[in-house]
Amino acid sequence: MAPLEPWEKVFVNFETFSTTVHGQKSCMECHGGEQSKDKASAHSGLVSRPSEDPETICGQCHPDIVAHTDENLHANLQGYWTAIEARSTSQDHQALVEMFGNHCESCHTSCGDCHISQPASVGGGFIDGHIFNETPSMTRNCTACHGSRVGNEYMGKHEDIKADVHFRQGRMSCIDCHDNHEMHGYPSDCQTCHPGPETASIPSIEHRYDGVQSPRCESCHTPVTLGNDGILMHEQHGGDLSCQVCHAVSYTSCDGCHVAISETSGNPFFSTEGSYLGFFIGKNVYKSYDRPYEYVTVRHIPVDNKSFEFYGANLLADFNNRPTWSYTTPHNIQRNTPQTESCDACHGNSNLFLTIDMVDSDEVDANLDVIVTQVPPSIFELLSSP
Amino acid sequence: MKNAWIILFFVLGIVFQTSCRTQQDEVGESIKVVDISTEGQEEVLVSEEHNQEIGSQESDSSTSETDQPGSETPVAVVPDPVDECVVCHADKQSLIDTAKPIEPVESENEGEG
Repeated sequence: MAPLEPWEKVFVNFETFSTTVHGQKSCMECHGGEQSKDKASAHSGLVSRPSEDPETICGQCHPDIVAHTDENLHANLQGYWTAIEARSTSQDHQALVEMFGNHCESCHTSCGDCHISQPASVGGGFIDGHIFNETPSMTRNCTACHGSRVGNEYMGKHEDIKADVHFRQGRMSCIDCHDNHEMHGYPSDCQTCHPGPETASIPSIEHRYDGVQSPRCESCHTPVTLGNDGILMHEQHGGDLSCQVCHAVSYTSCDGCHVAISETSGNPFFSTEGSYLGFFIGKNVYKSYDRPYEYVTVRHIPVDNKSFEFYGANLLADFNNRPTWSYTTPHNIQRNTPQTESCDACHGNSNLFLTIDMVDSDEVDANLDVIVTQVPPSIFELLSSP
Repeated sequence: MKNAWIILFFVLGIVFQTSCRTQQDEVGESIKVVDISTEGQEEVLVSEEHNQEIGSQESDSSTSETDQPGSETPVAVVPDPVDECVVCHADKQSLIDTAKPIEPVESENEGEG
């Protein structure tokens, strides 16, 4: 993705924009500022990102969407806080708030970050001359943030690993599966048919793998769910394995991220100890009605108990409350993978499973619920056992 | 033979009379359009810029007023207010000229983000 030129970031394609609905408003109605030929005067009181206050600005015409801002994970970043709060105590909250503001909050996504501009975390700026795009750009919006893992996996940027079949053959973009209901924080698809008070009581989701599974592979691949596709493994393992266990290939894991403020520049920065490709099957810590699987794909997330040491000692006092090998859904789906070659591609193959020897000794306690203590035996052993 | 000539001249005469009458009528109508009363007229200036305002629908009404005979009232010409935001932000060269100099910032991040 080529960076935007400075002039591009603020260039308004007025010839086209003025013909759109949003172009009927004057600039100052959303952005403030003053009418002046002098740049400094014109920018006095300027609101460069008015959609940071969606209730006031966007909510004038889109109250139904803005009403769910509090449940919108892209806006509230609740997924981060769910993990941070689980690993810390209340007494360290203030230091973590400071850390979060310096290093994590840049991922906060306003309406404009999807529909008008690039996200601020990648430099911001108008993507299309200030024209409002109903469908966000896969490259300028989605993978601008979700790039190092999902974007690279999905578009096949790892050497010798094909792109996800949904991209490579289906030519599908992110929004084809992750629709506006999910992105806007609507309380799951249930509300589509059940708009009554029962859906009003659905709790807000705490992280991306919480609540109703959306999207679901089975939404499009319906015969798999019904066992009507003639594939024996779908009948045998459809309920106890997530789809990715058989249909994903190697994906990125990361180790040891630490954050700090630079002494020379005063800017926040991070450093990661390493990233690597691998494939690991672990046990499902989010087992539920919506995610009934016994085994799922897991990847190592780069947090460790000293990640935020710059802001204070032992800020993650309850570090072991959450695993560091996390439930994951790699976006590099293939019909045929090493796992689908035969039953024994997985059965008896300890290399695929997250066994205790693969876990750092400092993290074993955190990952007890994920570690596979007994690898499923080979088919021969299964058939031979009494 | 003599009667045939008389009949021929009679028919030609009728045709000639008919065509002359049609032309006179047309002249009469054009005279009516031009003959505008000058009594009680007020000078009205028509806003020429109204048509260019976003969403304006006034162009038709202002045109119909001036076409009607005896209704030439001058309408004040009010220029549209210039949106200085657009003047600058829709001008690529202006943005290039007024942009802050690019200060290269070396990223201190290490590894995947």
